[in-house]
This record gives sequence, C-alpha cells and structure tokens, in this order.
Amino acid sequence: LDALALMELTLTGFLFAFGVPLVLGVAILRLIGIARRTDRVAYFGWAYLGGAIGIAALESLRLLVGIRAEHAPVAWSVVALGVGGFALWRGRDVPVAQEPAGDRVAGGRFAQLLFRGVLALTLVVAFQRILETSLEIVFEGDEAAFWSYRAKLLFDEGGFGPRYARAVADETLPNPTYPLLSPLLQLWVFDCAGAITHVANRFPVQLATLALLLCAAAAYRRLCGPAIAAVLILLLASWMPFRTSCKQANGEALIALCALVAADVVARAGVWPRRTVLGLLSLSVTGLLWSKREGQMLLLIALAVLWVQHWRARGFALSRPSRGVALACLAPVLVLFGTWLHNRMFRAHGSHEFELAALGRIWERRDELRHVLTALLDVGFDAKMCAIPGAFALLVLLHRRRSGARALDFLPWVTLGFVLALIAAMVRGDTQGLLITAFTRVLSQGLPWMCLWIAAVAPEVLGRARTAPQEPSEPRLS
Amino acid sequence: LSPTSRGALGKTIAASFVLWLTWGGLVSLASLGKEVASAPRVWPAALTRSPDERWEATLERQDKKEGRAPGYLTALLRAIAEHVPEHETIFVIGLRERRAMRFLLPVQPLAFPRQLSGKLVPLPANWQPAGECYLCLDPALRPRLEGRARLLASGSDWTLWR
Repeated sequence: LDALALMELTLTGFLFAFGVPLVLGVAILRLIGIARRTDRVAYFGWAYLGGAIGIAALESLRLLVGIRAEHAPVAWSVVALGVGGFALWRGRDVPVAQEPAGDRVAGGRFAQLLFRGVLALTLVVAFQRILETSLEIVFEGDEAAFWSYRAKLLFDEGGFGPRYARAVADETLPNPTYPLLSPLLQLWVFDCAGAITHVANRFPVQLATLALLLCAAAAYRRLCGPAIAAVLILLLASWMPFRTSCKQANGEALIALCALVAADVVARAGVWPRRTVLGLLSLSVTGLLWSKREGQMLLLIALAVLWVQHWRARGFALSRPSRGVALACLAPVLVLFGTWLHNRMFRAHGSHEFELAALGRIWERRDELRHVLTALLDVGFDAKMCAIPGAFALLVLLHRRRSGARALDFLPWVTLGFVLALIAAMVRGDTQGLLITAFTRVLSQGLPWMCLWIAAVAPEVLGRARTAPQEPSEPRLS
Repeated sequence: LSPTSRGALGKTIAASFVLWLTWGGLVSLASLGKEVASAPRVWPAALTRSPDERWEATLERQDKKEGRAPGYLTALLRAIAEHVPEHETIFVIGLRERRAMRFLLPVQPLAFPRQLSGKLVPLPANWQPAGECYLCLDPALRPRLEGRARLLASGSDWTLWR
C-alpha cells in the first residue's frame, strides 16, 4: 500500500484505475464469445485491449458531456458493473470460441515448460522495466511533450475548452492531430488519483507491452508450437524498441498490440465463431485507429492488400455486408469520425501529414531518399536490430511453399506497403530528424506481426507440416 | 506433425532457420538475464522512493545530461511555481531560433498548468515588454527589461520578469 501511495495512487484509486477497465474488458470479451478457456495465455491481453477501449470510450463521453473528474471513477464503476452483469446474463447464450483439438501445434513436456518459463521471464523483465521507469517522472520526449501533456490539458479543463484550443492554435501542444487513446488512458488515471500524476499515468499505456507479450506468445504457440514460440517472444522482448515501449507512455506498443491481435484474429477466423472474429477484429481495429496515425496508414494498406487478394480470387464481386459486419465497423468508424471532427474543429495540423501528392516530390528529394534507404540497410545489417526483420525478409524471399500460412499471406505485402509508406513519410519530412527520432520506433510496430508470419511458416521451414488442417484456404470474415 | 520432403534449398533454409533461432534465443536470453540481474537495485528503489525523490532524481539527471549545474531545473521550476499564477503564459525570450526551445521542453510539462510560449523567438527588433511574464535566457536583453518590467527571480543564465 505504501508503494501505491509512493506512485501517487491510493488503494481506492488503484482499484478504480485498473479494476474498472479489467471488469469492462472481461465483460466485453464475454459478450463476443471469449472466455478464459478460449486461450488462457492471450486472455488477459485481449481483456486489456477491451478494457482500454472501453474506458477510453467512457472518458470521451465524460469530456463531451462534461462529467466532473471526481465523479468519473464512481460513475464508470457503476457502468462497468452494469456491463459486467449484462455480460453474465447475456453471455450464457453466446457460444465460447474454442480451438478444435489438433488445431494447435503441440509440443513435448520440455517445450511446454520452456515456453512457460520464457513467458514468465519476459513478463517479469517487462514489468521490471515499468518499475525502473517509475523512478523518474514523465518529463521528456513524446510522452511528456504531447501524450501526457494533452491528458493534462483535458483534465485541467474538463473537456475540449478554450485553453485546449489555444494550446493547439499556438502549437504549445505538438502533434494535435494524433488520436486520443493514450491521453484518454492517462486522463483516467488522473481522474482516479484526483490530481495530475507524474508517474502513475504511464502505467495503463505501459501495460500494453505486457498485453502484447501475452497475445504474441499465444498466437505464436498456436502456429509453431511452444519451443519456437518461446524463442520468438525472447527475440521480441529483447528488441531495443520494445524495451523503449515498456518505458514510455507512447503509442507504439498500442499500435503493435492492435496490429498483432488483428492479424491473429484473421489467422483464427476459420475456427472461431463469426461473432468472436468480428468482435475482436472490431476491438483491435478500433485500437489501431485510436492509438497513432500510423494505424490509419496500416489499416489502409491492409485493406488494399486484402482487396487485391479478394479480387484475384473472386473478381470484383463483393458480398453485401451483413448486420454483424456493419456493427463491427461501427466503433472504428466512430473513432475515425471523432478524430476527423476534432482536427477540423480545432484546425489542427500535424507535422507528419501525408498526402498522395507528396509521392511525386520524392524524386526531387532523392538525397533524403538515399539517407532513408541507408538507415533501412543499417537496420538490416545491425546485429542487434536485424534478427527479426532480417529473418522475415529472407524467409519471404526464399521460402516459397507456404500452405501453413495461407490465411496470413497478406502480411508480407502489408509489411512491404508499410515500409514503403514509412520511407515516403521520412523522405517528405525533416528526414534527418525523423531518422533519429522515429524511424526504428515506427518500424518496430511491425515486429510482432513479422514474428507471427515467421511462426506460421516455421513448421514448414523445418520440414514439419501439420497432420490436421489448421486454417481454411481463406479466412471467413464476411 | 509429420516430416515433409524437401530439396537442397529447403534444407539450407531449415538449417539457417535453426541457427538463427538458436543464436537469437541465446543472445536475447543473455540480454534479458542481464536486466534481471539489476532487480535488487530497481525493485526496492521503485517500491520505496517518495514522489519528491522521483522528481529530484529526474531533474538532477536532466541537469547532468545537459551539462548544467545540479539544481538548475529545480530552481527554475520553483521560481515559476512561486511567481507565475496558474494558466498564465510565460513568453520565452533571448533565443535565436525556435528550435532552441527544445531545451525548455522538459520545463513545459512540469510547469503545467502554466504555459511556455515561443511566440517571441526570434525576438522582434522593436520589441518592448508589455505586462506579460517573460523568461529571459540572454543577459544582453536585461537593459531592455529593466525599468519596464519587474525582476521576479533569477538563476545562473535565466531571469524571470513581469
């Protein structure tokens, strides 16, 4: 309890800050057909995602309606209990998603022990990084300059008032066009503490790294078995940008988590009920769009790749979206609309706006292009950095038989599109500055899904194919 | 699981993949092991240090990083908290480029809800103080402020005026 007080939260504040999102997350998962037995490892990672989106939605409502900060913890606890009760009542009729027997790559006892040991180690190390960062207050870098600064502005004013508008207008708030998930999560901690905090507000964003480890471990183990999954999460946890994500309340881990969960859902689409697939996909895409602007870029690239794949397989015919698909699109569309409306109302301009017209200027800035490509090669040849992207690139180029990863065939193309978009964004901006501050950090958002694809092809690469069919030829999404 | 047939390329890829997994796994394990070894230093400190100690440690580290005397940021923040009312804007003067505001970025979030503004960077040639709060970082500007503004506080290379 003393330790909680030292981190600026009372026991009640702590229970509100983390209990309410947990109840919300568990309830949301139950309503879309996910229980602990669906996947014991990923469960709390998914619950974090559901809880984060749920509490951010409620905090948005607080800002829009004008609910006072001191009333929010009790009000949202009642709402969370209500949603929890509704989930208990309605959830009995919702079928729980479960993997059919033989669908998961099994491992021996030693492999299972290795997996559990490595997962525990990586979680402990990630938690220790969070503790280590708590020794210092939020005061520098992006987390202070705009993520938590924005939360402070919203808490201070209780909404999007004149002081917030002035901070956007006179540029004391950098990057005002960024989506609001991280500031809203920090605002929730301020509400629970009853004041602006300088350490505790990092926690809800940092927890995304633990959720990412849980979701990644479960997804990898399902595809390639516990032994290889153990090595992949070791690689992920020790990568420098992931280490940075554990230490800062930025949006990188949130984006990486949402992108990984979305790709994992696509891989599981053939074996889960449709309600679960659409529900978790909706949550992850909402999180992707609400975390950082790269989320919009990533979703656009993924949709383009999936559309081309669909067009090659079935021509232009698109089936009419069902009610479920329309419902699943509701939350992402609301987030997109909300972000657009915010930027329009406050005439916000970002430093990294990306227009298609800018592509035409890339050739004019070919010197910058050379710098960016050199930076990309640096990552490729740096022993500390190349392990995952290097292996991913080599496997994509050399390993041609990929029946085991058919449902994830889109990932190499999405990665290519993501890297090209990143290069274009770097070339048209302040290239030198962006290369130092953003390049590796943004590139790291793709690591978890690169590992997911590696996990999917690993059994075939090692000459071991599944005896039971793992995925249908195409995910059933509509 | 059942083995499938492979050619020479397949076997080479498989062998390289196993090597990569082994190398990556061992290097990562060693790196995480090193981090875990620092647990006796990190855990007790994180669970016992007071909020004030966390502030002081952070500001001291930042002073050291920027090559400033210890206590520089603490004194500046204390002066701002004591002399500038909440929600007031402090105009920074005495910087040549707007980019130079970067060194003040740590002050901005910690001085909240006071706001630091870089609107007067660079300073217009005919500028005169006009009843606002100014953080001056250039001693050469002092004559222009003296008589027209009141000195609120000062530090090694900064003065705070109204």
